[in-house]
This record gives sequence, structure tokens and C-alpha cells, in this order.
Amino acid sequence: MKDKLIRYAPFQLYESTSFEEYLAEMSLKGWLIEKISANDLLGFMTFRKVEARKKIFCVDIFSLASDSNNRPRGQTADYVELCKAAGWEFLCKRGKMLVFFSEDENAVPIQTDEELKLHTISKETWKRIGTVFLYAFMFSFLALSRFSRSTFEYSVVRYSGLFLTMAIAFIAIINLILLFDFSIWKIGMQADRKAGRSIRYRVDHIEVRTAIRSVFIAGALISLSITIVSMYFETNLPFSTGIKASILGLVLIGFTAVYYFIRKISKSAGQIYFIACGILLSLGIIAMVTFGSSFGSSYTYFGSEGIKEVSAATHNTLPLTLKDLGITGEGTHESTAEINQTFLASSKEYSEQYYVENTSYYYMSYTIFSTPFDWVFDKFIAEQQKTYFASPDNQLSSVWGAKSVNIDSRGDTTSYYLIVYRDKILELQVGFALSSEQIAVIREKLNL
Amino acid sequence: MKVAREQFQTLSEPMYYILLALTEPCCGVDIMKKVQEISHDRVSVGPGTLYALLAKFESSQMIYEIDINGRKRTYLLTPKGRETLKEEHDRLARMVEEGKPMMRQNILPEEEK
Repeated sequence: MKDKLIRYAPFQLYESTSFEEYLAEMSLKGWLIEKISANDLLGFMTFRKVEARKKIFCVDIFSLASDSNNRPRGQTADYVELCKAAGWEFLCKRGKMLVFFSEDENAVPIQTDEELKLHTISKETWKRIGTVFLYAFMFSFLALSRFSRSTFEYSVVRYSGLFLTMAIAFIAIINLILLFDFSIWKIGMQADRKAGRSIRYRVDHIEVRTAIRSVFIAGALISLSITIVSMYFETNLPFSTGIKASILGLVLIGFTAVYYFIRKISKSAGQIYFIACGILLSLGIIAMVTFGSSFGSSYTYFGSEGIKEVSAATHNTLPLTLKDLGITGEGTHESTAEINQTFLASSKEYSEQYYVENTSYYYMSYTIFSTPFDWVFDKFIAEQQKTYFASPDNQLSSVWGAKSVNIDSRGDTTSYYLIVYRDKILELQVGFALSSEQIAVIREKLNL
Repeated sequence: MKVAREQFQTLSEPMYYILLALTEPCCGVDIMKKVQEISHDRVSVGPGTLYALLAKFESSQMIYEIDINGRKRTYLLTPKGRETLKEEHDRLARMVEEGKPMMRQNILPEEEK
């Protein structure tokens, strides 16, 4: 027979009464909480099978308790001892939230001063809500920035980009919901105080609120997992690099885990360890972002030693080459191709350079963007026009047979074109002036 | 009310009884029992409230720790604590005294006057 039960535990400090009620219900079913994991959003609680009996619970907030230690130590242990003397058995703790139970229905409550209790809950929640506010702001900003300027294309044509955007949006929403929920409680609580009513702790619709949090957290975790898997497939990450990154990740996780699970260190050593973990994790995140960016911009190289000798076959898979535009010779050709597609949009990006050392250099890159969705199409054009292509050129539109053409020469030898057709968009960069014959070749080769 | 409590200009009921208990050396458990005894079970102080108030009293130098035995800490009033308690006691006594004529005249039944 099953004697352990694991349940999701997203209870916040200001929901201690809901938590108490939930634990009382579970004890009537014969389950007693014995462990609760540290995080209030990702945390789980473990129940053990006991004789089904009515018990009363107290979820108490103790400001002096350590945030990270799940066993009472120092002043917390003194406090637990005092509560025990008053008839309350300690069960487990999560940060400053301590869970007690008593079988004596007439036991004096742990908190007998409502004002003090409220002050502690409010103070501790404000500390937590500061982080929530920061995350809500940061992730909302990040989510919005994913749909602006140059990141928009990355966000819609790669599944890694798309799911990363979703994960960021989910994290932003989770924190916004927490912020909203706490604000509702705070406003209600202040109204109760003004009216001289007893304070209501959040007990209403806890199942609904828990379910909403669970959905968004699951959404964020699933999106992040898909992002990582997609990144692997999209970037042709070399196996050895994958192994190195995994080892680095495991070392970082292990280092942090030591702090959380062993904990047989003094308070000051613990703080130093905690700071070190923080620095390491920050470095890890910076490394991941940096690697992530470089993964995102990595290319499949078709060879850089001259098309005649090495990669003529693959080079010829490019829909348009410099050779097609009449640029030929015995110099060196280098070409790249990157094709990305999601259900939202597709992007085919090619580039080629041809050079003869110390004499001539030609460069061309082109991206064909298409999407079945009008809003993606319009958004892409709007963002690209904002970023690069300031001036529309009506004369060029007829030459290209396009709806619109924007061109940006930037004062150097490279011209940047944004050419919009009915169903696709061509971004073109060329390091030389295009003749009308060459334009005709481009249109023919790219089916424009 | 909160500000007044912080400055201990007036004491809440639990504060008053805790200070009364600490006129003799007491540990936390003893304080909880004594408060109930003194108030004839009318007032109970929970361990959470007691712990928070003891910390406040100690930081305001109204009580001090006279002994630590394992996890058991014993406290006693400081001269400042005694003074505060006396002031509060006198204030309450004065309030009762000052209220008597009006109470006798308007509120209390004949046999209690």
C-alpha cells in the first residue's frame, strides 16, 4: 500500500490559513505532511500515511528562520522547542514558513496577537514580492523585446526562439499573477483593518489559484525544455561542446545542491557559500546567453577552400550565387546557408563571398522570409523598416516588381534592401552596385 | 496603536501580563503558564507572540537574559522594564479609580455600588 504522497505546494506566505485548512483535510484522509521543498512556486510537499484523525495545524511565519535551511537551527530550534512546550509539534519548514500540528483542539494558538501576526506576514511577503516585482518587470520587458526589432525574426522562425519567448512570457505572467494576487490581499486586508473587522487570510478559490499557477509553471518548464532540445537540433552543436556544457551545468547544479542538501556549515560560511553560488550561477547564465547567441547565429559552412576544389556540389545548392550574377574567376568562394522554419514563419538565409587576395572582394547575402500569417508578415516589415531600412524607393519597386522596396546604403559599399512581395520578403545585402540585368537574374532565380 | 506599542507608552494586554510574569525569573514556558495563572485563564499568550514580544522587550532593554540552559532562556525585568510596568499599572489603576464615580452613578447595578 502506498505510504508516501507527493503534492504540489505553491502556497504563499499570506495564504497560511488556506494551507492550514488543506493540511487539516489531508490529515482527515490519513496523510500527514513531513517535508516541503524550498521553492514556493516549484516546490512539492511529501505526506506520509498515518492514522486518519482530526488534527489542527499552524502554518507560522518566523522572521528569524533561515531562508534556505529546511531544518530548524539556532534561534529557529529554540522557537520550535518553545512551541513544542505549548503543545505544537514541528513537522517541517520552507524558508520562514514553519508547519506545526497539535492533536489538542484547545491548544493555545501559536500567534495570539493578530496585529503582530499580520505585521510579520506583511513584512515577509513584501520581501518576497520585491523579487516577484523585479522578475515580473524584467521578464515582461524581455517578452516584449522578443517581438521587436531584430529579435522578432529569431522569435518566429526558430522553434528555440519561439519557445524561449513563450517560456519568458509564462515566467512574466506567473510573477504578474502573484503580484496581482498579493495586491488584492493587501487591499482587502487594509479595508478589513479600517473597518475593524478581523483580517481575512486568503482561503477563497485556493484550488483555482493553485491550478492557474501550476498551468503557467508547467508551461514555462515545458517551453524551456523544448527550447533546449530545439537549440540542439537547430545549431548542429558539436557533441564535445554538448558534453562540456552538460558537465559545466552539472558542476553548477552540484555546487548549489551541496549548499541546499548538506548544510552542515556555519552561518557565515553558509552566506559566503550562498554568494559564491550566486556568482557562479550568474556566470553560468551569462555563459549560456553568450553561447546561446552564438549557437543562434551559427552557420552550416559549405567549405571555404574554393568551390572548384571542395564543395562545388553543396555550393550549387544555393538558389542564387555570385556566379549567376556574372561574378566569376579563380578566387576563393565561401558560402553559408541557414534554413529555419516554424508553423509561424520560415526564413532561408544564404550568404556568399568571393575574393582574390589583395585584388577583389564581392559579398552578397539574402534572406527569404515568408509566413502564412498576415500579422507576422506586417510585424516583420514594420520591425525591419524601423531597424534598418529607412527610405522607401518607389522607382526601385517597379524594377523589382515588388509591392515596396526600402534601401539603406549606410554610406559604405554595402547596400541593404528590404523588398516586399505579396507573399514573401527578401532581405538583401550586396557589396556592389546591382545592374537591372542582375536584378532580373535575382528575381528569376529566387522566383520573385 | 502600533506606534504606541512600539514605544511602550501603553502596553497591550499580553505585553502587560508578560512583564508581570517577568517580575520573577522565568523562561518562555513558565511565562506562558504564569500569564494564564495571573489572568485566571482569561489571557493566553501563544509561543509565537511570546517570542516576538520577548525579542522586542529585550531590544528595548526592558528585560534581560539571566540564564541560558540548553535551549531554555530565563529572563527578568530590567529597572527600565520595572518602571514601564509600574507606569502602566498606575495608569490602569488610575483609569479604574477615575471611572468609579461615573460607573457607580450610571452603569453599575445597586448591589455593586
